[in-house]
Amino acid sequence: MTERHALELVNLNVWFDPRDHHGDKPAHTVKDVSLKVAAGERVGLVGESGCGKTTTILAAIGLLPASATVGGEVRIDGKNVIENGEAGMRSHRWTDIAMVFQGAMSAFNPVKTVGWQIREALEVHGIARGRIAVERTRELLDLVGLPSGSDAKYPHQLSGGMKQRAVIAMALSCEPKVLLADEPTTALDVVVQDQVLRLLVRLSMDLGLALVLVTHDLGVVAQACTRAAVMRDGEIVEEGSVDDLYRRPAHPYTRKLFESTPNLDDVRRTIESPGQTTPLLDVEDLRVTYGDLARTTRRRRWPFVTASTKVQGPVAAPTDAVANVSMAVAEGELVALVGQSGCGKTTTLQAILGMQPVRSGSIRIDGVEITGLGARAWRPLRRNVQMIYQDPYEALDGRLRVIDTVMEPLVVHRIGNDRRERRALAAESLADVGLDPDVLAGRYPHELSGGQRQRAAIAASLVLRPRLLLADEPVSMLDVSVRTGVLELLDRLRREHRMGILMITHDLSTAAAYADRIIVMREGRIVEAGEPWQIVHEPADDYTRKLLASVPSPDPQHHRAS
Amino acid sequence: MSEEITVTTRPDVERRRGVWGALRTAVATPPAIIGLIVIGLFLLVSVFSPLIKPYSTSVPSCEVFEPPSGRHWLGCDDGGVDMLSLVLQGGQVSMFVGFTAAVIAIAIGAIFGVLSGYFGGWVDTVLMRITDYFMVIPQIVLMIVVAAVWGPSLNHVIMVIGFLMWTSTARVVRAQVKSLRERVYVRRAVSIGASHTRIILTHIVPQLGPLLIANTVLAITLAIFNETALAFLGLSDPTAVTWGTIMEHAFERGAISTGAWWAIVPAGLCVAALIVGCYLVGNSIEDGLNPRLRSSYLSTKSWRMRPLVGRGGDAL
Repeated sequence: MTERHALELVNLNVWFDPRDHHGDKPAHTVKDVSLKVAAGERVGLVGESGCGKTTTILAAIGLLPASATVGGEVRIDGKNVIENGEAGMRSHRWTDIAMVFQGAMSAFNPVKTVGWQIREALEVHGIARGRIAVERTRELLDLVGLPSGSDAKYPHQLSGGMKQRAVIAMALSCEPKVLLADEPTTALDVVVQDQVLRLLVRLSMDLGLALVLVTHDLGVVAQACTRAAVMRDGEIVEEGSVDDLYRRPAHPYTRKLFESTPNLDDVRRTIESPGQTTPLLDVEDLRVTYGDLARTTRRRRWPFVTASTKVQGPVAAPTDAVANVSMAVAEGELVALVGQSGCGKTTTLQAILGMQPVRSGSIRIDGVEITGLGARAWRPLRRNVQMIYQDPYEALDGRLRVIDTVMEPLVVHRIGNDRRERRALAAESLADVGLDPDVLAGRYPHELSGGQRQRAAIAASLVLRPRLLLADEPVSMLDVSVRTGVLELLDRLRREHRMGILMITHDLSTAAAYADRIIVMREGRIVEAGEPWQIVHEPADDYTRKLLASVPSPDPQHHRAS
Repeated sequence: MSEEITVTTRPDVERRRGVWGALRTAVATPPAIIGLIVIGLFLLVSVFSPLIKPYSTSVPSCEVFEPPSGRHWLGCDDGGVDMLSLVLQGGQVSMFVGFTAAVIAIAIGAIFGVLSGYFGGWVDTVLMRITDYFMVIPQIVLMIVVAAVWGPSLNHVIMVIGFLMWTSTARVVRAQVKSLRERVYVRRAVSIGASHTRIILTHIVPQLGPLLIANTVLAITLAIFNETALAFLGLSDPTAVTWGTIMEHAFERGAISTGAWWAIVPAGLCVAALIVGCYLVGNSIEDGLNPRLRSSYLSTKSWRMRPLVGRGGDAL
C-alpha cells in the first residue's frame, strides 16, 4: 500500500462553541481522530449515539455549522483540503468527496424531478450541460440500479429504497474519489437495507471508491465493510479488519458492543415446553380498515355528495390495513410480532389498545370482549393493558418529574388513599425496573439517559400491575449497549409477574433472542407463526426466508453482501 | 445496568433545556433585558405616580401652555396643569387598560385555542368560525358604536380591545395544541385512562406557558397602542387621564398651532418607549421558543480552522 490514501484524516479535532453560557469551555466533540481509507476500501465507523461519528465525517466534507472549530488535517489524495477553511473546501466537495445523507426521504426537493436534481449537481460543477447532462443522469440512475425512466419521476413516486439509491446516484454524479455515507440504511427496512448495502459494496469495488460508512449497527458494518473503527466519546478506541474485531476484540467496549448485538446463529431450540396456560389476549379474525372510516365520516358531513356517488356505483373498495389476524398471548409469554414497516403491526397493537376502531373480528383481553367498547367503558379496563412506546424521549412529559409520571396512573385509577401511599407504590415500581427511587424520582426526564427514560416509562406502565404489556419497538431508539438491559427487564417481568407481553419489532434477531413465539406479518396478514428456533432454522414461508436472509449478521464470515 | 444508573448529569446545565429553559435563555439576551428594564421602570413609575407626581392633575398650577422650565419640567397643558404629573398619572391608566385588555384577550384566546385544537371535529369548526367572525370586525367602528350606545368609558375600551384581540392567540394556540395532542406522552396518558380534563391541565396547558407569555407581552403592546388610538379619537372616557386623552386634549385645544410641542410629545414618547420595551421582550421570547428563527443553514458564516499553536504532538 502506498503512502497516498484516497482519504486520510490526521489528528482531526472538532470543538463546538457552548450554546447558552458564554463562559463555558467549547465542547471537544472529536478528539485526535486519525483514519486512512485507500481507494476501493470500505471502512465502517461504528459507535453509539453522540460519540462523534457523524461530526467526524461532516468535518471531513466541511459541512459543520458555524459554531464549530476544526483542527488537524483532512487529506484527499495526499492534499490537505481543509487548510483554508470553507473557501478551500468548496472546490473539492462533491468532485473529490461526496456524501450520502441519513434521511433519504427528505434529501430531495419534492417539486422537482429526481433527474432535474441530479442534473443540477452536474451543471453547478460544470461537468455537463444540456443533452450530455441528461445522458449522464440516465447513466448514473442505471448505475445504482433504478429502472429507466426514473429521472422523470418526482421524489414521492419513488419508494424509500429507490430514493436512497437516487441519493447515492446524486453523490456519484461528479465522480468523487471518496464517498461518505451517514447511516444510509437506518430508516430503511431490512430487505431494502440489504439491497442498498449490496449496491454500496458493488459501487465501491467497481468504481474504486473509498467508502466510509457511519452506522450504529455492527451487523451492517460486518456485512458491508472490510475494516472498521469503533468510536467512543469522540475517540477511536479500536481499529482493525471486521473479522479481527468480531473474533478478537481487544478493547472491552468493542467486546461489549458485539455481545449486545443479537445474533440469529445463537438461537437455540427451547427445551421447556410451555405449561398449561390460559390465553390472556385472544385476537380472532381481526380486520381494520382505514379507507372505510374516511368514507363514513364524509357521508355524515355531506349527504348529497355520497348520495350521488352511491348512484354512480360502489366507492373504490377500501384496503384492509389488517385482515384475518388471529393470535393469542398467554400468561407469562413474550410474543414478538415481526414485519417490515407498513405491514400492519402497529395498527394491530392500536386496535388491541382500543385506539383504533375495528371493522370486524374479536379481541378478548382476559375473557372480556373489547371491540366496540366506548371510551368510558374502556377506562377501567385500561388497568389491565399497558403500552410501552418506541421513543422514550417522547413518551415522558418533560414537565413532570419521574415520580409524578409514575404516580399519574395511580391518581387516574384512584389507587392508594393518599399521596404517601402512592409514592411508596411508585417507588416500588421504579425499583422494580432497576432505577433507584431515592436518586432518580425527583429528576426530570431530560436528566435521564435514554435507557433510564425507557425504564421510567416501563415503570409508569408497571405501576398498575397490568396483565398484558404491549411494546411498540421498545428498544429500536436505544443504543446497542442499553438494549440488552431493557430486553432483559421485559424478560424478567414476564417471568416474575406472569405478564403477557406482545412486542412489535422489525428486528428478527432481537425477536429470536427473547421471544417465546414469533409471528411474521406481511401486508396486514399473518404469514407464519412459530417458535424462534423453527422460524429461524425451518421457515415455512418464502417471505420469512427472505427476511432472514436480509438480517445482517455481526459475524463477517456468515454471509457477505457482495 | 449499573453503569447506566451511575451516569450523572449536570443539572445546572441540563435544566436549561425544554420550553421553560428556552424561555429563561431568551430572557437573558440583551434586547430582552433592555425591554424588561423599560417595562419595569414604567411599572414602578405608574404604581408610585400618586406619590412622585409634583403637582395635582386636576388643579391648575401654572399658566396655559407654559413652556418647560425648572419648576415645570415638561411645561403645562391647555388648562395650566403640570405635564409631568399628567404623564405620570396617565401611564397608570394606560398601562392598566393595556394589561387588563391583554389578559382578557389571552384568556379567551387560550380557551378557544385549547378546546378547538384538542377536540377537533365539530368543536374546532364551530370555534374557528367564531374566531373568523371576530377577526373581521373593525375595532374602531365597533368602538364608535359602543361609545355612541353606552357612552364612552374605560371599561368599554378594555372590553372592546379584549374581545377583539384574542383571535390571533386562539389560532396560534390551536396550532400548537394540535401538534401537542399527537405527542406520544399524550397518547400514553390516554392509554392509561386519563380523562380529557386531566390531559389538558397536566400535559397540554403547561407546555403552552411560554407561548402564552410571549403572546401576552405582544398583546399588551397592541392593547396600549389601541387604547391610545381610541382615546385620541375621543372614544375613551374623557374624564380619565391616559396618554391617549392627554394627546387628544392638547390636539383639540390647539397645542400644535401655538407650538406647544411639550403638550403632545412626552405622552407620545412614553407610548412608543413602552411598546418598544414590550416588543423587545416578546420578540426575544418568540425567538427563544423557535430557534430556527435565529440560525439558518444558509448563513454566510461557516466553520473555521483552529489556529495552530505549537508543533507536532503538542499542536492544539
